[in-house]
Amino acid sequence: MTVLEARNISYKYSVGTPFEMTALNNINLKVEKGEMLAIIGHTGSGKSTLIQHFNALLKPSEGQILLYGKDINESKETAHAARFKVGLCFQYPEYQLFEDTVYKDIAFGPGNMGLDKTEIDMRVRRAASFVGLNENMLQKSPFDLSGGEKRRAAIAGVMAMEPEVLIMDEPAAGLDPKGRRVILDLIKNYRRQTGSTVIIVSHSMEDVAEIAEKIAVLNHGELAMYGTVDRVFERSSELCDMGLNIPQITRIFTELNKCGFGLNKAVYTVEQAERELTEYLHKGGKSND
Amino acid sequence: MKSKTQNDNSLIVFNDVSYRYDSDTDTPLPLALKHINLDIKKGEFVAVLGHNGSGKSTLAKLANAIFVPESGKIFVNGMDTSDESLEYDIRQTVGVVFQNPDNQLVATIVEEDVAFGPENLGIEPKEIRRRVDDALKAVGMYEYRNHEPHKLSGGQKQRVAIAGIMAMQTDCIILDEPTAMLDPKGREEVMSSMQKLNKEMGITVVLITHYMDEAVKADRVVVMNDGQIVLDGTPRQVFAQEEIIENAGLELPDSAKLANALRRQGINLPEGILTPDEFVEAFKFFVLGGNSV
Repeated sequence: MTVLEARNISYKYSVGTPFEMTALNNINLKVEKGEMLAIIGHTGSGKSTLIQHFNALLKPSEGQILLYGKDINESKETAHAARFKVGLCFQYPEYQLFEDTVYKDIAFGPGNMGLDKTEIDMRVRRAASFVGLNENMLQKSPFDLSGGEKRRAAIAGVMAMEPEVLIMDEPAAGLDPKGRRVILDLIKNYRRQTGSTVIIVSHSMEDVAEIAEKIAVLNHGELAMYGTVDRVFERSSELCDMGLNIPQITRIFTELNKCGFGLNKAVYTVEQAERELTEYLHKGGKSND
Repeated sequence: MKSKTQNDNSLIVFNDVSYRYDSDTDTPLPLALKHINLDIKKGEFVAVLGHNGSGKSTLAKLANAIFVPESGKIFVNGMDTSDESLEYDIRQTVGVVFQNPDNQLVATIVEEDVAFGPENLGIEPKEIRRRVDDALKAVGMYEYRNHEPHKLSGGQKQRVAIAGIMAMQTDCIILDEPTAMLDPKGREEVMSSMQKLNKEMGITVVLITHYMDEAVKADRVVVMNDGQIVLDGTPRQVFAQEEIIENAGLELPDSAKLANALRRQGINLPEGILTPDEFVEAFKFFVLGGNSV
């Protein structure tokens, strides 16, 4: 079932001035329920502009955003409702923490939804435990948390709204490898346990390869590619021309295949590569003596 | 690696340096840096790795005299950073580029932004013109000299910020996670600009980063954990210490991880593989010897 659809979306900035600029040009995109979609593209390709359309923060100049088949910009009410059904977690969300305790920060979103106190409390605790923040941390000031913890607190604030679609703009940017691992695992668990639809925007091809099922590639405001991870990473030279790249491991496999090794092309992670290469050697690429 | 140890070859020297941040309460905070000894030579390209909060950025701010040590001494080109009267000269020797390009560009035109530093140094206009042009050419942004900075891509903005430091003709540029907010192409642009400045113009580069594939390109890698330096050597020496790297909350580059995983299965690949190219070469050699497929 299609949850979210962009139908012929175009967006122009500063219309009617000499600075008029087309940020998005006729984007068509369908996101299925429970899917994990990654949006990639060079800086300025329109990724952030597109996701802000998904929860009605921006209104398309042309076209429609459909949530369960209904135009979210039909009325003020539908646009308002979309803000809660589609949860948007911005880049570096920890800069938006502002309450005096972590608890209050996480409760801010659900509070705006007009939920009652017990429901809010339940949601705050559920979201906090999801992201691995304990009781003790909930009472702390967000500013006393480490960088990784702040990021997780901010993500919990969006999760606590229990949106149908969770959108995260660069969720792991600026974190060290361990912090990045924690965030990726958290997104995986969240999907497994809630079955929610998740969209991430990322510059890290490794992260995308690890968690996404489908990839949408934006290039200068247009949807250049849209398909499964395999289909998209196959087109490595086109991706490079668009200022992107492919995961390091995929690069290794592409090079080996150029030399005639005949390996599976759809390999993106170290684990997949290890399996594939040991199998190749056992099958007699060369016996392991 | 440290073949030349004579002091006149050193640019930044940390002698048993400790630092702690001020506390809001009566209880002092723990040390952010603990007894750091580090000697950065002129012309080196040093990558500093470490998890968030390991003390990397604190190190950068100490080297630039934004902070002064609680104990120990830092010398920049022989100048003691705790001597306030030398602050100006120290910042003319060591410049810092920060993570977020939007926070460090001040002017409305690219070339004015690059001129900001030298103007503040009171340099005459003709000389400023020359420096700005040279710096913008060096980072490949000369054609953009009349553009508005806010309309540039992230990678372009960072290169303008680097040009701004270059125009001050500092001997050393410290970059604090300059590529964290950039797309793959932007990262590549900034890295190749830095390598060019280092190799062709002899500028000392200290690159603080979370990206292992960037660290692999440095001459020397310093790994920080919990306010201390836990590894210091060539990329090959440092990344051979898988356990220490992982304990420091870091990871090996994917090519190295894959090579190690295969070696553990008894596949006899050489040690020290760090990049995709090295892996491909080694694997081809393992399978084919000298033959083709």
